[in-house]
Amino acid sequence: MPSIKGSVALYTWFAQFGIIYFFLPYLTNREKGMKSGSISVLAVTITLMLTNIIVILVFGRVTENFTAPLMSATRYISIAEFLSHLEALVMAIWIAGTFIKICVFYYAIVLGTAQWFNLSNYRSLVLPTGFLIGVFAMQAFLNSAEASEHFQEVSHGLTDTLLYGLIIPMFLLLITYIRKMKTFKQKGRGGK
Amino acid sequence: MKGLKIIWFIGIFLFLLTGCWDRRETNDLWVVTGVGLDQTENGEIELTVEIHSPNRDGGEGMGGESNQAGGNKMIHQTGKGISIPKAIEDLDTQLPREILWSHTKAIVINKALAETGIREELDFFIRHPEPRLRSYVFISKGSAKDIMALLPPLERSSSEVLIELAKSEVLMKVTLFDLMEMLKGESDAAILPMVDKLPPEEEEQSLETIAYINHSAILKNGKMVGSIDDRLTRGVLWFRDEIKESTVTIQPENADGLISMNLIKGTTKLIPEIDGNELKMTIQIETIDDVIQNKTDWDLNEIEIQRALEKELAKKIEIRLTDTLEIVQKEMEVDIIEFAEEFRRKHPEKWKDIKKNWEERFPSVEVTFDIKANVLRTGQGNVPW
Repeated sequence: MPSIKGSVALYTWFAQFGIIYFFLPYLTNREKGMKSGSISVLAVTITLMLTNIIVILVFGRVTENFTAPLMSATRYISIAEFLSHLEALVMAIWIAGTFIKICVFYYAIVLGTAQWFNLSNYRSLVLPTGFLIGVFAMQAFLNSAEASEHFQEVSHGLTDTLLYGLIIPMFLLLITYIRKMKTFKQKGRGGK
Repeated sequence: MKGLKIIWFIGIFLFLLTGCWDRRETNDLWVVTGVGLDQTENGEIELTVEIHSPNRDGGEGMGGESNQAGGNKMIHQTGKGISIPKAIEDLDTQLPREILWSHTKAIVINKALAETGIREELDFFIRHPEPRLRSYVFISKGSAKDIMALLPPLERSSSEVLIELAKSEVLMKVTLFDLMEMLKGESDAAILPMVDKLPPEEEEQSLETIAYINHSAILKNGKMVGSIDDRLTRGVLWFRDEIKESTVTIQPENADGLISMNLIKGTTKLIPEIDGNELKMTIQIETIDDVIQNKTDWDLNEIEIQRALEKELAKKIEIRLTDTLEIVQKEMEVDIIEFAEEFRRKHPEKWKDIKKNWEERFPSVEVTFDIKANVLRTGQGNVPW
């Protein structure tokens, strides 16, 4: 039970995987979508797990005293006294990862908004949304205390994550099943 | 159209070629290799930094004492303030360059400061992004400034001597991270190496000596409460399963003279047991030793003698450990041997109860020893009798 409690915090990251629905309709080869999707889910799970295991194995009970444990763990690396100060590597990966993440979310926001407003083309939304992202990047929260308050007030802790990461996907799955069953029944009737 | 493209390219390159705007060159930096923390009489913190000066000619007249020992210059500067950052600010006014903390490998804390608590002061070194968790922490018997100001005849700097001494693991070796772990531990106790100035040879300059580790400071709740000597420190090292170097000299009962042995390998296992309301701890030790000197007439190649020797060795270790317990467990009542952690691991549910009054219960933990000693080699020859 404590381990499940602990995994809840990780789930908020994992739920961001839900962004994949925005890309599924645009795949050229839809059969491969399932396979690649499963592979990436597995990869994300393993990465999250490995990071945690590494950090806990290195720091043990002191883990919670670090703001960014993996970063501190990387700083702690010292192999044969000369292979040390590797945090730049982690930083580079981190920033590259964040860049990709922003790109993906940016695309999802622009595309979703365009479809919502029934726009013929999403391109006209790119610049204004980018501007908004820029403004919010500076204004939304300044430090970690404000950030945690933001997540409490705006996202209501876990409710948002559960909504976007669990309830909506489940709902979509349910709808798909119902629709499939309907078409199946209609087909069956047609065959009569 | 073509002109526009060119302008666009130039614009892109202007953004890409900005890589060096916030560079920090070595000649803009003071590389701090060691830090000494003292408490002044009016409760302020006195921070002494040991700065490694890579350029041998320059640096003169920058203030502070500098020396030519070992071919490299070490510069020492002191700042004062009500807290470490304030002391650094004071230091900044004296230093024409920016301080770089990344290479700080030794942190020496004065005994007086340690007695008022080190937790608050360590916070700086953990919070600041530059110092490393691998820096070694020491407690100094006298002023930390004096330790830092020493000019070792062989090594480059005083902090280097301390680091090498800690690394040899003859006595305690505690890094900043180890200390964090100890402060966070169940028992709230910590043990740190304690350094003192090695008295210099008579004719030499008083500064040309080294600091050496001869004691261990015992901390409770982050405050220093006492110290133990090197003999007991090795006992604590046995308990903590950190023993790496040890020479055991025994005097067998039915023989005339001494036999000395060198530790090759020693492993310790603490096995906790809760028997009703009583707490018990079994110390299981396995050790392999080599004989390095035999001053008795014992023939070590005989199996009976070998067995007797092993028995004596085990007895000797047990005596050492009992003596350690006597001081640490019964007198000081500080759980630096980490019994608490073992109990928590083995009996996590019952531990919650025990934890409440662990401090009262720790001295009453019953300890039994189970020591297995083996003698591996007896050397390449022996002196003829």
